[in-house]
Amino acid sequence: MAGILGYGAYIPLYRIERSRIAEQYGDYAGDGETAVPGHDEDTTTMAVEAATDALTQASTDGDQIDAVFAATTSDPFVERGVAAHVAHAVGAGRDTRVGDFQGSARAGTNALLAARDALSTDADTVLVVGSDALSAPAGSAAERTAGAGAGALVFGEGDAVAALTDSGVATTGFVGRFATHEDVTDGDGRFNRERYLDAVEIAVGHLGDDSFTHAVFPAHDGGWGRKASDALGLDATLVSTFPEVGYTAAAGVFLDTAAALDTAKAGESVLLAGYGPGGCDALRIERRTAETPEMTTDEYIQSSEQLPYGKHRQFRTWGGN
Amino acid sequence: MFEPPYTRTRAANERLRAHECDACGWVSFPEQPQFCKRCGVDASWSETRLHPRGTVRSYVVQQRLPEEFETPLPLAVMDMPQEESGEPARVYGLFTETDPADIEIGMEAEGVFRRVFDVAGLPIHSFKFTRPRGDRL
Repeated sequence: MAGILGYGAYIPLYRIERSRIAEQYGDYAGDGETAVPGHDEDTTTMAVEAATDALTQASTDGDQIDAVFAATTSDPFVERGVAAHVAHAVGAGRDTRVGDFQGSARAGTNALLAARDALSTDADTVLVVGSDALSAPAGSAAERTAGAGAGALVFGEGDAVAALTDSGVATTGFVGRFATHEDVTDGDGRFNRERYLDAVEIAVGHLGDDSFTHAVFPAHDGGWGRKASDALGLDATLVSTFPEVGYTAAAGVFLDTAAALDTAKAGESVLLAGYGPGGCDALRIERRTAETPEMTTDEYIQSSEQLPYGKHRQFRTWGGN
Repeated sequence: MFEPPYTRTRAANERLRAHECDACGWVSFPEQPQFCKRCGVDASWSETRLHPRGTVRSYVVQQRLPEEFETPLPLAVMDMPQEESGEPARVYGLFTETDPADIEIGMEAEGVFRRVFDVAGLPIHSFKFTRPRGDRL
């Protein structure tokens, strides 16, 4: 069991309607919006914003943090990292351990499990962040849902607002959607979905207690969560930021969890299934209080400004996103 | 950041570290001068940290800037309180994501962590001001 002292979300101000992207190419897209990072935002800045909200709720100062773990799939650098820069910005000391988790949207749950393990060895307080500003070529299908956002959790001893109580893992090695710095490949949607459902069922099957009031299945396809919930026979409220924010990969693990925690009452429990190339991690998070951070995920969603297509493209280009 | 000036100013840029004059309480940000700009003593300074939410005291709007800036760009003189007690610091800063029509002298603005520019492709991060997200619901 690992106590969660605080959590936080961050979603950029700017949005674009998916239909507005599609119409540029004479295509049709369904409902929904995608969050676009501002021209001066990147994975580090968004992670710091979410971390600040989480630390404020946790009443934790930067110098109390023993470790910072950061998860992303959209680090523009091959050599630089994110965690050490988040650690510096939030005021963590020089003896703070850091870890960067990348290469799969599952990096989000990988980082959460590493934080739990660190608490049982040499750390009392661990900050975990997930941050992504996904890129996609102009005119590609992935462009419509290539979202941006961040989320954070603070683990530690004290008055917990929630707790990570159980986990299950399925490392299948299967790769469905994958991305390079230049392009995104989705592959065969139906075949990939079958492999996804297999991995989720195995991981969730390892959990001791399979009753949940809320469930989050962050995935690049907005329909997969419902399929997974049906396959598992869950009777839980599905929570997803996909309709308003788009796909946010490793950040989505934290954003969707924050959105679920915002609505869960004390004693209720959230299933988090973090999936990406390689497999799935299933986590059980129990709510201890109903306390929410100063800005809820929904408030970040509601405070928004629409961009026209050209401006959205310009912001992505400037930010390298 | 790998260049010496950005390594030295990193705590001011990223953590809002400021310096308070031990003689008169004036707060210097971002630099730590030899002499206090208010009381003029050869100062000894105490490190302090500014709170990222302050008050707009004055502003101008820049219309023409290099491409990496979003124009029209408001530039403001702000009063930023210290995290603990003491006088606020007078801070000069860029705004981001804020329509100039929404800025008024006396309004509260929030410092948000952003990329200010790049050095050889490496981002330099610091605070910019914005109309608080909570006011845009």
